[in-house]
Amino acid sequence: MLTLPCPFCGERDETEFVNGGPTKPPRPDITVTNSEWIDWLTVPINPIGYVEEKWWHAKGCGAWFTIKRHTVTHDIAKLDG
Amino acid sequence: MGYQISTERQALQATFDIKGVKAAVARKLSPLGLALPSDRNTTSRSNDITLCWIGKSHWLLVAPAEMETQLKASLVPDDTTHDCRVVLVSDVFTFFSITGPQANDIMAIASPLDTRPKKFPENGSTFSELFGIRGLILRQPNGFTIAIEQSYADMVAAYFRKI
Ligand SMILES: [Zn+2]
Repeated sequence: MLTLPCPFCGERDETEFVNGGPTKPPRPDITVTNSEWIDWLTVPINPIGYVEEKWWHAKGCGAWFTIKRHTVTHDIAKLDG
Repeated sequence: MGYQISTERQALQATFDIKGVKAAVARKLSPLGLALPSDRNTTSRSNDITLCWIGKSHWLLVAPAEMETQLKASLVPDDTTHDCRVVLVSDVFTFFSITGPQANDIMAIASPLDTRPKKFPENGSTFSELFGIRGLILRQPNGFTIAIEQSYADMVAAYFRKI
């Protein structure tokens, strides 16, 4: 069972949350190549290791927050509000 | 019913959704003699009014239905500074009481939230998952009050009949 640290409610069960996907790097400049644009737009960030991702406490307080979660161990390394 | 509990669908409650800057919300509620709860996910009370702190800048005020007109007059006129917004949402929620010696056991079935006294205080109030949907949980002296969106009320009542 995964629990997630909501900045308002504290540690809560994962079933209260909706995953908002990995945080993306900033939108690239208009001068990028087609393949760089497609990479940014469609290729999910999916490392074996820590991924920075957004979560929504949909069934709780409604807060959006960002954490770093290890995709293999589910260890949560960082909460930045 | 195998559990030593009593569940009851409650009459309509006057319910107001309050969002805004903490200081502005405090000012708005002070004429009611109501202080903001000091801890997150807890309540404060004044007479028959319960104020739940449910999100960073979000509160829910619950009172008996007969107080709705008076409370609406006091709370709903817009704050011209846009620091505090109050919306009447009495029709959104249906409240149920769950009381009795095994009320905690029912909450353990309904919700992933740990509602034992050590984790969920006497004045606790929070949104969590209830039977798979979003709902408000409030501790009461002999159990809990829950509030869910009213379109799910018959479904939740049916679950209680099966418990
Ligand atoms: Zn939360």
